[in-house]
Parts: sequence; C-alpha cells; structure tokens
Amino acid sequence: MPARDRPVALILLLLAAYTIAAARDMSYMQGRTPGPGFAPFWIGVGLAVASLAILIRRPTGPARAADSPASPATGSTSTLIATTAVTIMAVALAERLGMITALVFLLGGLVRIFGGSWRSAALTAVILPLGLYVLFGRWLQVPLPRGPWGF
Amino acid sequence: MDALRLLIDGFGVAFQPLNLLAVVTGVMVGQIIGVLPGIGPASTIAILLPVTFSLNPTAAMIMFVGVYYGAQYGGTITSVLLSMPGESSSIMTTLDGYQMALQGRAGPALGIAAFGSFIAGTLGVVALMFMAPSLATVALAFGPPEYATLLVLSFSLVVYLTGRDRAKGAVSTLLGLWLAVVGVDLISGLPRFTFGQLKLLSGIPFVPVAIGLFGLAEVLASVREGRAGDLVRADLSLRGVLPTAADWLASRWAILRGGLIGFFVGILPGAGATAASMIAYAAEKRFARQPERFGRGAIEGVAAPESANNAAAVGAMVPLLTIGVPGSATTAIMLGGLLVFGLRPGPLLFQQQPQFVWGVIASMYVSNLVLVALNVAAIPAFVALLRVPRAVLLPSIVALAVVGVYSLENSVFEVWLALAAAAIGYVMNRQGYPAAPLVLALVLGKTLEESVRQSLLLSHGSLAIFVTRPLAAAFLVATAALVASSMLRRRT
Repeated sequence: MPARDRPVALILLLLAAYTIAAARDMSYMQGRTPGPGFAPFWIGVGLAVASLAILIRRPTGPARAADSPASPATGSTSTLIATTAVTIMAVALAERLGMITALVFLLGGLVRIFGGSWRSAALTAVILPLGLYVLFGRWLQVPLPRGPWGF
Repeated sequence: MDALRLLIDGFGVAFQPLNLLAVVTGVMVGQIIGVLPGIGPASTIAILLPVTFSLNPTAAMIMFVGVYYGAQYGGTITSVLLSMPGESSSIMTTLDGYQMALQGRAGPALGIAAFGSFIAGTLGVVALMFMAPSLATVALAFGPPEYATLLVLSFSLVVYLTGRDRAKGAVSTLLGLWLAVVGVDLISGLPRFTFGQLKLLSGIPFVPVAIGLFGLAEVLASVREGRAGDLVRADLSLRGVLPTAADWLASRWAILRGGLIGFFVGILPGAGATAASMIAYAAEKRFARQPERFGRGAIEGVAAPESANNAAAVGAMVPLLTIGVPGSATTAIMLGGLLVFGLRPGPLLFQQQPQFVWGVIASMYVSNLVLVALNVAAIPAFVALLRVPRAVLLPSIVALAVVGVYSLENSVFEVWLALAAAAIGYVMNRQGYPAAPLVLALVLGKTLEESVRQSLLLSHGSLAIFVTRPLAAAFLVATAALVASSMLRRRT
C-alpha cells in the first residue's frame, strides 16, 4: 500500500466504526423486515472491510488518479489554497453583500490567482456577474441575495 | 412497425422549435466543453441542471443527450491537434490522430472522426430503437428482488470496470450508499446521520453533490495541471477535412467494428465510452494486417475509438431508459435530473411517456446530423476556443456552479454542500478513488434499500426470495462470478 493511502484509509475505517455504532442505536430489524439501521449497518461493515483491505495490502507502487488521464502537477499548493479561500469567502459573503457583489469578488480574485491580467480580471468580474444576473435573476426569476446597495 | 410509427411521432417532438434548439445548444455546448480540457460531460450536465429546470423534461433530456454526444467528439480536436485529450474517451485517438496531424493529415483525421461518430452513433440509435422497447417489456416483470439484485450487480460491475483499484472503487460505492441513507427513514420516520441539521432531513440533494464532485473538483484538479503543447498547423477548410476514398476504404470496417463494440460496451454499467474506445482500438490493432502501423498515424486508429465512444454514449442510454439504471456518471446525473423533473426512467416510461422516450430517441438522430454538420463545417471555430485563457475559463465555471447550486433551493446551504463535495472529490481524485461509483450509488442507494426492504417484506424476512426467483438468482450468480474473477485476477 502506498504510504499516502494510509491516512484516508484510517479515516474511512473510523467512519465505518461510527456508522456501525450509530446503526446499532437505530433498529436493525422491525419484526421480520429490516429496520432503519439495517442498511447503515451493512454499509458500515462494507466500508470497514474495504478500508481494511486498503490498509493491510502490500505496497504496489504510487497511487494514481483513476478517473483522469495522468497529467503533470505544475500548479502550486498555494494556488489551490488561495482558490479555496477566495471561493469560501465569496460564498460566506453572498448573503451579506449580495450574490452579484460576491461574484465580482470571486471572479476578480480567481482570475488573478490563475495568473490573469488585471484587465482580464476586471472584465470577467464585470461581464460574467452581469450575464449570470440576467440568466438567473431575470430569466429564471431566481431571488438572488441582495446586498446593502440593493443588488 | 410499431417502433417506426412511434419514431415518426418522436420526430414530431424532436422537430418542435424548442427541442430543436435544445439539440443544437446541447451539441454545441458539448463540443465546447469537449474541446476545453479540464471539464467533462458529467460536470457540464451537472452544472447545466439548474438552468434546464425552466425547460420541460423532454427539452432538458434532449439537451443533455446533445451535450453527451458533443463532448465525445469535442475531445477529438485537442487529441489530434494538441496530443491532449479533452475527454478521457479520446485518449486512444491521440495515439494515431496526433501522428496524422504531424504528417500534415489533421484534416482527414478530424473528418473521419466526425463521419465515424455519425455512422456509429446513428447505427447505435437504430439498435437502441429496436432493443430498448423489448428490454423494457422484460423489465416490466421485475419485482423488488430483481431490482435489488440487479442494482447489486450494477454496483459490482461499476467497481470492477472503473479504475484499477477495486478496493477504492468499493469504498467510493459505499460512500455513495452512505450519503443516500442520510435523512429521515421513510418507513420508521427516524432521522439518520442528519447531525441536527433540518436541511438534511429530506436527504442529501443529488445536484449539489454532483456539481461539487465533478464540476468544482475538476476545477481544483485543473489548478495543479499545466497546459502543454502547441496547436499543430492544419488545413481545416471543408476540403481539407473531407477524407479521401482511400481513407474511407481503410476505415470502413474500423467504423463498423468500433460502433458495434462501443454500443455493447456502453450498455454495461461502469464501462462507458473510455473503455469502449480502448477496446475498439485494441480490437482494430488485432484485426489489422500491419498492426505496426498503429501509433504511427493509422487512420483506423482514429476511426475505431471515435466511432466506439459515440456509440457507447448511445448504448449507455439503453439501461437508463429501460430499467432506470444508469451505467456511468453522466447518465447517473441525467437520471438525477429526470427524478427532479418528476420522471422515473424505467420500463413504465415507454408506456406512460411515449412522447418523451421517442422524442429523445428521435433527437439522437438529429444530434448526430448536427454533430457531423458542425464538425465538418465549423472546426476552425472550435479550435479558436482553445485560445480562451484558463485564467478566465476556470473562474467562470466556479461562478456558474455557485449561482446554479444556489438557484436549486434559493439557499446557501446547498452551495456549502457543493463545496464540501468538491473537497471530497478533490481528495478522491488525488488518492485514486473513482468518483463515478459514488454518484451512481447516491442516485440509486435509496432504490436499493427500498427494494431490499420490500423483498424481505414479501418473503416475511426470508433471504430465500433472492435465490428462488430465477432472474434475481441469475443476477446474484453473475455478481458472485464477477467478485470471484476479480479476486482470482488479483492473485495471479
């Protein structure tokens, strides 16, 4: 097992233990039919078996992303952290400052993080929120959160 | 003859202006996302779901099918011109397609891919048209035990066929099942794993999870990927794209074999267009008189996988429409969307909603036509898209996803859920856990639990019901054979 598989497998094992414990508090059988704890119990058992299988197997080489073609990792962790932080901040601010303002912040921030120029950031941060407002706010009649300045 | 009459009615539906617009929009959007590496059809359909809720279900489904189709071909353009597959189902195309481009034959490579996709896709729709109603009739005899065992078989197949690591595939499936049981148990009324959150009482909504797991997680994954390579210069005019008579002669069997393999592999849960294209390429190399030409610019090496991936997209619609069991992440998201629309794909759909089913089938013919027309005449326009800076594209996807998820319930809670799913999806991707089984299990988990409970209710708690009914027993035997073969393979 590649060493980097271990932490996730351990977390999964903990989740399995929690699931089995929680399922025991629900009813496993109600009369002769399965109760609400039936499915969670077996899901927990399955998770425990699968995560144990990952934990105890012999090393087989580095893990590979199964879903995507292999690609070189050239982006930095700081870019990833900055992307996550800006997105979380924008979502947290959406209800206070309004969705459009949050989108301006989100788009401007992300374009800069991904290496775009100030001009691209400004243009994207103005045009796209406007387009999304027309699509969702006007056309689909979604009541997007408004900020203190009315939009 | 009945099928032909229904198909004619279906064309009446497909040619309605809104549905025609949905076809063209779907194919174009699919093409665009196929061209742009980093986002696949599953993510696109997930992100588009909230937008399509204002349409009727037929138009929405027609658009999804168009996206699925278009994406299969869009990935070809980057495979041939950049040696960078836009979709995983175009990986095999890079082997010979890029070599052809380096030899100055990018036009015929793209042309044969477009015509091959058209021919194989159309033949696939013909097969779907005649096969699906018969399968749906068989599926009408399914009771809860048959559904329960069929779902167990489907999950096993998905684990078996997706990714190299089956333990991780199993974990992914079980995580999906775990998420599916969150919420109030409908029989006892007991809340399960809701952690005091009122919003979770009705269960974990599928769309935010799909958008997070695919759309947003793919953006995060793209952050760490670099773009490499320059576009190969090529004559992409109408004349330059048309294959020569010799190209046609060399590719004719590759297209037919690729289409046949693609359709049947597409039907299998978990196999999908990527596996289909790989098998078709391997088969073509095996049939070739000079297999050493493969990988050096053989046009059959482009025709076979491209025909297979489009036919597989059609094949994947067979289990979705007839038994309501999706075979891939993309069709699982389509199923999730249809459920939101109040439609339950399955055998009864053919009886209760013939206009919907046959409208969608007829629209597949139209999609194929639109696809070939766009790809013979408008390749330069799609190539121009490759010049959209990633710094603008990725943030735009995030913004669209955030607003789209918010619009589902007009609530930020769903957006947080999507962000959590994105984080989980990113970790899964980094650690080699396939995301497709999780989505399939999330969509079908409730049905599996209900089917098991109903079966045991019917049998007064006896598990024998799963082995005494022939179809259910057959599904269980197939599952056992699959598990045994998987374990034996690991040992050897």
